[in-house]
Amino acid sequence: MPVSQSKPLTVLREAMTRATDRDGIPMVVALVDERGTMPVVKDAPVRDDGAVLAARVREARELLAPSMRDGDNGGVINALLIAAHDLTEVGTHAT
Amino acid sequence: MPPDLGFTRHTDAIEAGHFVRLVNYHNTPASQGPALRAELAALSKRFDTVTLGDLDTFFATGHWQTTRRVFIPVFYEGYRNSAEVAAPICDELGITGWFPICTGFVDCPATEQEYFARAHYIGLVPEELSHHRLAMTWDDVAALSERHVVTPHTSSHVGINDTSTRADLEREVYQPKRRMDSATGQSAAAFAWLHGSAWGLSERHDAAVHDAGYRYLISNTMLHRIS
Repeated sequence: MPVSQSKPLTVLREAMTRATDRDGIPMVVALVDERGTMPVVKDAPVRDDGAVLAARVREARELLAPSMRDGDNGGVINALLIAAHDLTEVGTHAT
Repeated sequence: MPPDLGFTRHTDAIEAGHFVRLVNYHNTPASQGPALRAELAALSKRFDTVTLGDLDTFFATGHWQTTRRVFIPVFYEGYRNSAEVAAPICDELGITGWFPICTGFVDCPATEQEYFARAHYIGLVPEELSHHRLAMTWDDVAALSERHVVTPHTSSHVGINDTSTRADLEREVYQPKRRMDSATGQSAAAFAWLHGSAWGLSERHDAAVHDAGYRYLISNTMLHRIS
């Protein structure tokens, strides 16, 4: 399948064309403690959910921008937006 | 050294369970109320929302106070329709919304709010333009704070590149917290820059946000606990 027809790119296009006077923009953000380390999350469902989201981020990067440098925060924003697509109807019609 | 805002830092955190889903809203005009209600109702069937106390507990323990997945509906800017359309829908559904508010928009005389909005990247929709006010009032902010999370999003919707002097920081970072705390009787916990600048990009700006008394910074890709 061409990249232009891939689900991650379709999701990104749908998410970025949502009407901000009507639709919510789905996102997932990392929780970070700038004072020190985060506590360990022991709840398996939360870690499992995180693993799924992280895999989506990696898939988006590998499929859509494999040459992008790791520190490109604009690329991170897009990948997180794609990963969060299950929050809304974004991606429902993606192939 | 610039902060690490890259892919790997994010995937490592998310994989470790350190993440939260958001849905970011801006204008929520009355004509779109039914669609907003349907979207939030669908979300609330699958997810619980997050109070400030829930977030504090997670940062202390790594545990959410629910067995369901969580998300935060975020309503930006301080629009009148956030108070009059979005908040009642949240109340009806029993969910907690977060409202980052441009305090200068709220303070602006009603007759000047359209001009203010158009000068500060605050998007408007045609159906709103006939209303007396475009921004919520301080009474709205106080009422929202009783059931939801209200917090400053600078005074005039600016980013770190727009705040270079001590007076800029006073107006956009310190004063909004004092103004909001005075209205709510609470301590506003979080702050967000225009464009969602992250912690670590500017020592001066980080210091101002910290010293003003905020304990969270909401950025584009992270929610930072800073004190």
